[in-house]
Amino acid sequence: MGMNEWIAAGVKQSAQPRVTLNGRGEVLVEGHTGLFSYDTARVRIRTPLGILEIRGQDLVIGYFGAEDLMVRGRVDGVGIEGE
Amino acid sequence: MRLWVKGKIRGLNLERLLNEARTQGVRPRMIRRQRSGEMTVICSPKDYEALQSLAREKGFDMTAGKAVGLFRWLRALKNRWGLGLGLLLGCLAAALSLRYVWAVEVINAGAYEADARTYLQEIGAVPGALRQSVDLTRLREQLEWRWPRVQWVRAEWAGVALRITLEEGVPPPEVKTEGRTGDVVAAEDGLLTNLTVYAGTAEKKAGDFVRAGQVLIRGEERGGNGEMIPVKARGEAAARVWVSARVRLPLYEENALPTGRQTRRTVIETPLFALAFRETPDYLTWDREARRLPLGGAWLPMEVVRETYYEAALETGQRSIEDVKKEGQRAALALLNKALLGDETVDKWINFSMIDGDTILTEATAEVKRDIGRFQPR
Repeated sequence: MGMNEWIAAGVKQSAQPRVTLNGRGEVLVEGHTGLFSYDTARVRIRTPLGILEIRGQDLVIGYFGAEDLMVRGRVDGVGIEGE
Repeated sequence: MRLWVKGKIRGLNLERLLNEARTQGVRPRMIRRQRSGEMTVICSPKDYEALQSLAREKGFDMTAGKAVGLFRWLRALKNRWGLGLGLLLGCLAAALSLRYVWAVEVINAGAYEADARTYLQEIGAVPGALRQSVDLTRLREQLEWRWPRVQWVRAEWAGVALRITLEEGVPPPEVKTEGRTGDVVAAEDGLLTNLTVYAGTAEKKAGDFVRAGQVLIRGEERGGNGEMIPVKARGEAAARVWVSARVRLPLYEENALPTGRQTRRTVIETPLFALAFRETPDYLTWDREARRLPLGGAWLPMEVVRETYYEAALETGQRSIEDVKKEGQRAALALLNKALLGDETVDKWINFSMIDGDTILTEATAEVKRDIGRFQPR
């Protein structure tokens, strides 16, 4: 793999959102592009892959950064809606 | 259709503000974090107001909301309601005006234009009439029935105008004059074998003997209404013509016979003068022989001419008639061939005749086929 291809692969890899589920009480989403909507039962986050939906109960925004976001609460499911 | 407002929130622990807002039922459309301590929010105007009051309460700094999307334009119009009203009335007027006929165009009608406009007035297809009152198909059929000589009629809408286009039937061909009018006349005497008329009226026919200058095709044609139209006559007049060539040759000729006497002399010639050492001899008739010898000279070229004069006695002798005839025939045929100009030759013959007993007249005649027509303008 040449240098340019390696850089392109790295750039492509960093553009991919990463979802880290810590048990059932915490979800860390890295690489998002904005918070779409949120309430206690559902948080929808924009990502390059589409709308990431976190379903659960008593969900709160634990941390909201420019590229990463953390949702705390009882997480029942995580899914992606295609754009 | 939902209206959206966009604004920025600054402060620490923005997550706490978001969670608080959620408990109050604020539902933003989009939230983005720019950098630490600042985020952009897009939500409805009502939610934005709620978020603003909450931010003030919690100590966050929030900018005034700016309308985005269509809401932005509607807000602008709200302050300029006259503009909005004017736009609306204008669109309404345009929509209403398209229901009426604004103009009537009659194209390529020629002599039928006045009748066409009169008929359209009779049926009510005039400016100001409702478009739906004009049936284009029926109108076209009625017009075609009304003018049988018209090839076709087209009735269509051209914007707000009713356009009627006519096309007449194939008109009679134009009589082209191509410049001056005139006749085709005979360039020479001849016997017409064929007369082909391209334009004009034939005055002669095949088998007629014509003289030079006679009109073969008259430059007139009968028009569609019976009147005579002057035209430039064109056509081909094939005829048999006779071409002759004559040669006169004398039977007697004078011959110079030397007597034996001769005289020589030398002359120096220059461009400016000639120096002769002897006078010319006093012979009645003589033959002269001269030999030139250039002496050179750049500015005064010089030649030495050695002359010899031979005294001669003239004697008239008669030539052989056959010799004269042969010579005359050759000469007459040569002249005749020049005059024929490559025409198709039908026949050729030679006639000899004696004139005054001492001259042979040789006449060569050829019968050829030639186009004798010549255009003569009036």
